[in-house]
Amino acid sequence: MGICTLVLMFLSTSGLAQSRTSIAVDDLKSEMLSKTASLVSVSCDFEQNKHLEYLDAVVSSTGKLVFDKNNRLKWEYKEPFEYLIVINDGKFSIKTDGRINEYDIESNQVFSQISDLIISSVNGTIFTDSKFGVSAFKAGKEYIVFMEPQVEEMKEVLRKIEMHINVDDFSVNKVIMFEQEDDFTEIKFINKVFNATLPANTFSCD
Amino acid sequence: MRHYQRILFLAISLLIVSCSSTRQTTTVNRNTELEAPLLAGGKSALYKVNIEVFGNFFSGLLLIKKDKEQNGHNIVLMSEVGLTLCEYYSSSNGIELKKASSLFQSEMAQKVLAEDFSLLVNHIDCLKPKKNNVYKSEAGYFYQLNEAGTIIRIKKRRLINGVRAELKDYKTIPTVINYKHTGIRFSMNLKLLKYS
Repeated sequence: MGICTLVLMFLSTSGLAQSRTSIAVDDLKSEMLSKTASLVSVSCDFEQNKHLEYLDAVVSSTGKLVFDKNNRLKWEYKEPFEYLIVINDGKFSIKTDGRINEYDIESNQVFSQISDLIISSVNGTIFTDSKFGVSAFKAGKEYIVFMEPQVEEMKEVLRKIEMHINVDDFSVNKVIMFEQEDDFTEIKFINKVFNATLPANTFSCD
Repeated sequence: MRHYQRILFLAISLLIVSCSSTRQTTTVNRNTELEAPLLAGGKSALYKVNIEVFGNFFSGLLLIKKDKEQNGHNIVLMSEVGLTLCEYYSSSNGIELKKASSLFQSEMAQKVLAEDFSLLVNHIDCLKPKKNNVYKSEAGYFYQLNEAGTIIRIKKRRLINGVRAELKDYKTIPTVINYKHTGIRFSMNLKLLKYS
């Protein structure tokens, strides 16, 4: 490794270190909870890219997400496939290829955990969950929260979750889920609309 | 008169023998070089997958990517949300499970999927012609071809875990693939999303 490379590496890492300021997680939690208290609904588009590192492949999909203050959620993949997740009224519903499968969240521990994970990722409260070890930084216009699962079952699937939160409105810009090896999935939330009135049938599979 | 009849009979016999001989030679030559359904030209294919096993329904995505250096295929089954469920590598040595998530630990399902996926990418050799455009491989699979020579059906009869795969709507590769197993309640449907 040449001296130039070493110098460049040092400069790039020190630059990175300077641009990130470590912040107290508890402060971020309380500020986030107070800012999102007035939130009635969020709807946005999302772009998802699953990176398979050793295959040098990316699997991309796009869709729409709607969430409201009653923890109801509609997560709809539109391209290149149709796949719909709805969380509403204690039910976790999945619609794919015209077929609807419905699970009772209360009586199904797996779907209860998945439901919690999805909703807390979307509303940003995931890092208040004791199932994660949390550290947070401020970088430019974003808070970046790193979460490492503490529960063995979750550790087997996910190594880390990285969440990018908008400094101004505390909405989630991006979630990156790192799997145990090199694969990771990045979901960007764009075109956000806050507190719009939602049609009555928003959180249905029809 | 009898002399002419003999000549005519010999001529007709010769014609029949030569025709059948030519047809058989052409068929054998063409089909000993039969390509697996997904080997045709491209680098990768992404399918939407629906699986029904013992009354439970699962869905996900299947990525099949050619490994140029090793002349094999990487096969990854993942959830729509992005989590990898299992990974296989298929080559001339067969198919092997490289990785399986803790969410996907059923050995039976892993084995059935390995066999189903290998039908799409493994080299098909030593085909023996049967009737109605059906050929039998050394591994005991029956391949039915259409008039254009593409595989439209693969079948293996077994008491436990027999399989029948229908390959439809070819656009270079099949855009719809439906598997139905016998002896176990396992079916899988693939629908092509992307091909490059």
